[in-house]
Amino acid sequence: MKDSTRKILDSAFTAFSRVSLFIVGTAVIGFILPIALKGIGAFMFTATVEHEKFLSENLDYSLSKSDKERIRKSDAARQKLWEMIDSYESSKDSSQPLEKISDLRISTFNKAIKDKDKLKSILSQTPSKRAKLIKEYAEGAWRAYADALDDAERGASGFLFQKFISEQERKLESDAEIFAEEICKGAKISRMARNSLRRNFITYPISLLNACRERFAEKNSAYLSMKGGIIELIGPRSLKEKEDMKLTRQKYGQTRLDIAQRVLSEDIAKISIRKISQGGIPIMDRVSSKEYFGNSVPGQILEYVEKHFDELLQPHFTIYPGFFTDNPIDANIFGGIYPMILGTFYLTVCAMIVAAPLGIAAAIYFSEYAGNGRIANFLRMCVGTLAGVPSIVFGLFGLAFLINTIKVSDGKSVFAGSLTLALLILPTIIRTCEESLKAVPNSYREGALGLGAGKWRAICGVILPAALPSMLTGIIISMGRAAGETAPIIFTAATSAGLAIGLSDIFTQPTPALPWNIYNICSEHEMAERVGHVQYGMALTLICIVLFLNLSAIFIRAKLQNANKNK
Amino acid sequence: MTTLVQERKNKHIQNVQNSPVMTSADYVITARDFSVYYGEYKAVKDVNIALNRGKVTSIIGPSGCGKSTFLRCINRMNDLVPGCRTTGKLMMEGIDLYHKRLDVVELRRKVGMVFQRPNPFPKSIYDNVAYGVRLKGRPPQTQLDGIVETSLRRSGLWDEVKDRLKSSALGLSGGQQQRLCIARALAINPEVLLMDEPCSALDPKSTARIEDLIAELSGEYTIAIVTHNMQQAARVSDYTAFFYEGVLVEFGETSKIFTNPKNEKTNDYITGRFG
Repeated sequence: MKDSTRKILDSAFTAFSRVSLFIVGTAVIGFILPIALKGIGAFMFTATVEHEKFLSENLDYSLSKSDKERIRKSDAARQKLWEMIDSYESSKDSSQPLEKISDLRISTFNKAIKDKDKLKSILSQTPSKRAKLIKEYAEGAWRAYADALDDAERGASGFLFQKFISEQERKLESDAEIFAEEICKGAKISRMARNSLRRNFITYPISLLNACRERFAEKNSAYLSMKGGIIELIGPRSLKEKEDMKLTRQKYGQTRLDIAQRVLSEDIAKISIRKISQGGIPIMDRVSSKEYFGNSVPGQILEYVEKHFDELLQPHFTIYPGFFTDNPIDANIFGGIYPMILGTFYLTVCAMIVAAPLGIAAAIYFSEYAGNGRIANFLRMCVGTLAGVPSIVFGLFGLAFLINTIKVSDGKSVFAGSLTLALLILPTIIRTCEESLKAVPNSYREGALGLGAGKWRAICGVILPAALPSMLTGIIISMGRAAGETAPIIFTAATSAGLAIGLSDIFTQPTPALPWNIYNICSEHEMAERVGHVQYGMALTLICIVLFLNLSAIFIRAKLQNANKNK
Repeated sequence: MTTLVQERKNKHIQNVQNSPVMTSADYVITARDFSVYYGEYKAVKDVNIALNRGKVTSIIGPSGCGKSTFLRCINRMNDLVPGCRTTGKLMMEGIDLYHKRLDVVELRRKVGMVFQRPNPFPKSIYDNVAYGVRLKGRPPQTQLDGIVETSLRRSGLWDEVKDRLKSSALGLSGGQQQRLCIARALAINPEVLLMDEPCSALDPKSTARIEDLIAELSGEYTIAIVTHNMQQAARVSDYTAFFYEGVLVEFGETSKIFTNPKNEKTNDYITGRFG
């Protein structure tokens, strides 16, 4: 090869490896950094006043002076909001036109009674002609009533008007009955004709009322949708309402500003309205509240919430270290992730207690006793195969063998999960420990044996201490793997909800654990988008645990090797 | 050696001696038609030799001639090599070293060994020297301190390390490490000291110190030293054995071998015509 070609190849290779290093580096940073940033948001965030309320009422936190001040301020702002809502829901401003409508109803009937003769002549016609004529007459008679209804609807505000419409319908029916009796009194009119009069005379106003009601139902559902959003944002109004709620998430408003803003933009500024489609099937439609309500009272309420958002919720930056030490409440929407951390700790440590001695013993056997015989090599191959078995298979094995067959516990338990994890990491531990033992110079063995040490004493006194740093490294890195494994504990140890368990329960109780709960809270949680911060918080915690274990492995190795060199 | 016999008696091992005592008390190690095989390969061929008590015997010969193999048989270090077996007799003061009921651990306490490369353990200097002593029991601290000091003084290391006995032995220089290994071997008070090219990894100055040390130790210990360095063999040893292709070609007093070898091959080797 020419010298110049070799130089080009050399620099090409260097450039290639640098580029790949750079890509790997950016990938790691691009992967870790967002998780870290979002994860930090789980315990350092802008909280609302609801956060302090929740903590003081559920987790025995005490309220500071500034917290109390915030609650007072927000209560004052809320008071006004509730007053607006109250006045809207029980508004009496439309009672005047309503009375007028009632009057018009009665006068319409009275007028028609005066036209008794005309109606009687209509009734004597053939049935088909009769109905048509009655309708024509009624439309004329009810015109004033219809106009009044139109006027009233424009100024009406919901609840009361809806009630009024139902009342009018009822009254129309009963009045029509009396009216028909009155017309037919003394005359020889068939029963059928009388019924026709009763029905057809009020068809027009009833249809008007029905249309009115439908329009109001839509308006009402829109208003209720917005009100629901407001309650979701700031919590229920009174203590009694709060106590009536079953779930903790219904008892408090939003504790985090980011989610509160989302609620404002998604559930308050946008509303679901119930519309009747052309096929007569009710459908839900989402529209902008501002456009829908315009300048009406609900529109004013919306404006108030948007304008006084900060006063209602009192956002302030807070650090919540309890995220790591508190129990979760209401499916992780509130509280911390303490049980998951503790569960991961139990599982990892128990797995280590089981796997480390077994692994070290097997490694000593392989490296010092077994030699290179056929059986030893077969066993080595088995260990290698075990290392390649997918972790979900270990999980199934744990369920089928450990729990169902030899019954280490009645059901899922920390102990069963630890044993499964121990099996999973055992091959890795054996491998790394065997390699570390083999890396011990043979001269140490000869030296020890040459001084009259038995094999066992040479192993314990010289070979193991010399191999210890790299053995520990391997074991701790396996520990990191055990901490992060999900599949083996699904069937054997993990539960999605639950509180922290005591040390005495590890043989009988399942536990929440970080890897499983990350999956669970991301994919199985009914309000997954509201607990995004918990997802990232858990992921960050898990990464930190594994990172901490790996760093401590490096640290211990460096420390022990230094200690060996210049003690 | 009497202690070894007594200890073995204590362990109720009887009828150890199947063969009669062949040598006079002046000989510590005797080999009779002794051969070593690595699998099918015969590395040492029918060697007959006797090492004198309290003398230094050097074993010379070109690489691969079986001199190290022979040396390592004396404390059964070759047991570690898979597929190694022996025929013939190798005796130490009348005891068959390859008897199947011989306590190898006990033998190695009596026959110390210093290896080609210094191999101190990754422990402190003190612990290195005390290692062999502690294997046998737990002597009182003052007694242990005494043993460590004596051993280090004998190997001429004491003045250099007395202030840092607790620091790691791996921090010493190569020559110091080798002398530490010698001190370690001396601490358990062996009768025979085997040295497998102890100076081959050392600089001339350290080599000179080790040679002085060997001279000091001779008389007290029976020493067998394998070396490639003919001058060294001439300087330190009383007797010299020349191995060639697994065969003991010539054995005799060093002065005679180096001035007036009987065998032509010996002559060629020591004059540097081959090897």
